[in-house]
Amino acid sequence: MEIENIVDRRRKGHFRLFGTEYNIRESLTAMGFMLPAVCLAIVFIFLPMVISLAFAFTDANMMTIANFNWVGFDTIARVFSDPRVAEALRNTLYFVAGVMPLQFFAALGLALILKHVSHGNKFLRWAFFCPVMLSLAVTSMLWMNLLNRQDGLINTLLLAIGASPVAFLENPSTAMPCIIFISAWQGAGYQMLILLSALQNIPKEQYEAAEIDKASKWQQFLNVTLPGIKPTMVFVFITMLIGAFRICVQPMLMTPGGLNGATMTMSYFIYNQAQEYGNFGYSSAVALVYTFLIATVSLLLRKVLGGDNQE
Amino acid sequence: MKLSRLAPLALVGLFALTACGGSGQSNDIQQSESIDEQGSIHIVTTKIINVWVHKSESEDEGKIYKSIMENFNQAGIVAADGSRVQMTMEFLGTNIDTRISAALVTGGLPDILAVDSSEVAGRVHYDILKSIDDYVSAEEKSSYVDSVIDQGTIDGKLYTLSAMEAPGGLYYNKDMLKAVGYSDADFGTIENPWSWDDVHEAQKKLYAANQPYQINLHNGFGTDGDMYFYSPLIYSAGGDFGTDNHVKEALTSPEALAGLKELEPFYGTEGLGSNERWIYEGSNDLAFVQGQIPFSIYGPWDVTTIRNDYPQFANSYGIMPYPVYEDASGKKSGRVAIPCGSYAFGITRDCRDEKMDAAVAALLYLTGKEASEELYYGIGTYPTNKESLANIPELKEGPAKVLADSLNANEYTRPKQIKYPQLREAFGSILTYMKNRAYYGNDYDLDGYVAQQAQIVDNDQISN
Repeated sequence: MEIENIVDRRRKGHFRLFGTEYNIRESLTAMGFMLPAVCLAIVFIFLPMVISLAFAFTDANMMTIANFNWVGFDTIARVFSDPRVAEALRNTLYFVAGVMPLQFFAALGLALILKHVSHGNKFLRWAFFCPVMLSLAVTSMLWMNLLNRQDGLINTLLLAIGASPVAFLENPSTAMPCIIFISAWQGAGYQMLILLSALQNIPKEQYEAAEIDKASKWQQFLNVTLPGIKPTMVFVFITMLIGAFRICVQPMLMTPGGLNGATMTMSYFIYNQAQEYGNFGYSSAVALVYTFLIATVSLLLRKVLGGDNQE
Repeated sequence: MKLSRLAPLALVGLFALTACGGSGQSNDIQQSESIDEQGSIHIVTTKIINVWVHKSESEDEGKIYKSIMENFNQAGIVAADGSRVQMTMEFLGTNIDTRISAALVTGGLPDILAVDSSEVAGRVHYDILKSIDDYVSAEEKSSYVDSVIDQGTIDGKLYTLSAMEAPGGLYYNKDMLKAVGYSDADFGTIENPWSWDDVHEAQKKLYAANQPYQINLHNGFGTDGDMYFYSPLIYSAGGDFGTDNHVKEALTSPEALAGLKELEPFYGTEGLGSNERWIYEGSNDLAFVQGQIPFSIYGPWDVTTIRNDYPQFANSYGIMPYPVYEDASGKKSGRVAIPCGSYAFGITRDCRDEKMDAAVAALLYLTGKEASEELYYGIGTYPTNKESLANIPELKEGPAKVLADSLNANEYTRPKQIKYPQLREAFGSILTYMKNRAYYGNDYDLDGYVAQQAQIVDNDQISN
């Protein structure tokens, strides 16, 4: 009887793939709907990735792009011996190490505020999320004006209280901390929303049980809240990490040229090599090495922190 | 929806995507019949020249190019072989580099391409531009200011021409300087220019008199601002930027370093109180034209700004020629080097030989007298046509005349190197390093930093 049914269904236009049976007509319709998106993804995502991967093993230059030579691992080897790459990597790690805790705890703090504050909650939610809606270029220009050494608002205030003005974005030792702060300020709102949604999904019964057990607020936070949002925190942490490794626009706009190497990050370096110098081959090689680095760090972090399928 | 209805839609979409890359050059030489008064039929050949410009159609400069194109098409200009020439334009704005990259692969370069003066060497090295040396007569060349011919000439051959120049100089506030004892006779002229030391001396007098004393050096102005404003420092001191792969040797020469060091007193704080600096670092781009500071190193654009928006300031300011180098013995350099250079146009390798005469006719119009004057009146760039430069009434007197005279006397242009982007970035880094010297303390070592930056430029490889 069962065998007959299968034969019957196949006769009506079904097929089996990897152990699952599909309706041919429905599948074709679904594929038709997917086709535009798939085509766009191939043209604008996968193809450039493959081309970039191939360029990493060439000496391609933007001006001679149709006439390049395969140089094997020469370009990749150059990446490891280039002191500028080492400097850019150091700066990027500095940025990542600075922005990750700052942005994460800011996002978590804001989410906790929104969870517990009912008065003016909508306004606060809008205010905290507002920087996310602004473009990086706009916020960079805004902060450049605020931090201007001569007539920026912050230095004017410092002068008013008798303090010396600070060359926030000109001084190599203060420029990167400023970029870290501004990036955390701008990005925290987005992570805040994700964490807030996770916070709101923690069952109230868990808090009630903790209160019955006479757990303090801090103990509730440690033993109920944090475990309850751990999978979300891991997700937020990893996406933040990947975003932080890609830092480019803020140093490019706020410290053009990388402030003598002090704010030259890996993405900015890759961009410079490709767009300013036309060195597509070298730029792709640096990008390839860097992608492997980010992927390795992300996977390691995911392994260490866990977060998969944890309730 | 039935699948049979979806399939054609998907195909149309795919064709639309693949059709985007067409170069559309198949109809660039058209033939039509015309009948004259006697009733004879003639074949009229029209060559269509496509031009890529670096501005969008909505920008002032883009609008002017559009007007130039329309004037050209109405002027009935003919090529050397008698065929009619028509011009089409694509206003690419900031996308021009991307389009060029794509065109280098697909072979769809236009006939004429806008090129920044500093990019000419690279475009020539990579065989993007064709020499126009054999097509432009000596008489035609002589109608352009020397800087245009110089910046468009690589290895003795002419590749580009330009309709606009951007001579820079030292803007100064006459009222402020006169208040501390200067008279008109004291201000620098082409024959007797101020040196950087003179500028700093004036700043000290202003500071002592409790007057505004800062100078806006416009560091970091645009992508090429540092090289545009301060490459003349090197030339004036007797140095240069060397050649591709030999930058370090040139930039670490005593002359080049001496030139760079002319800026050190401005970036320093010697003689000032705490929290004070000789340079203006504020965020107000109009600080000079609003009378807030006495000095500004700038291009010709503020002449137009003052004329149009701050006419009350017109009698309060002047322009001196770009300051020159002065050695330790007080001897001023005789080399005239000023900020200059702007976008030019060149003919690309994809312009077929049978269209060269038409392309040259279009290029000469695009960079000729009318275009030059139209750009001057439209956006304030200086005409590159000598006759226009001499005859435009506004350029015959006052501050604007100083820039015109400076342009005529100028002997140098920005360095012409294939690795110009790398050189430009290195030079910008050197100026940033000097500007921020206070933050490096005892580690500040300009000579060492210049050598390091120049070495980075030399180490970068040039593709063939």
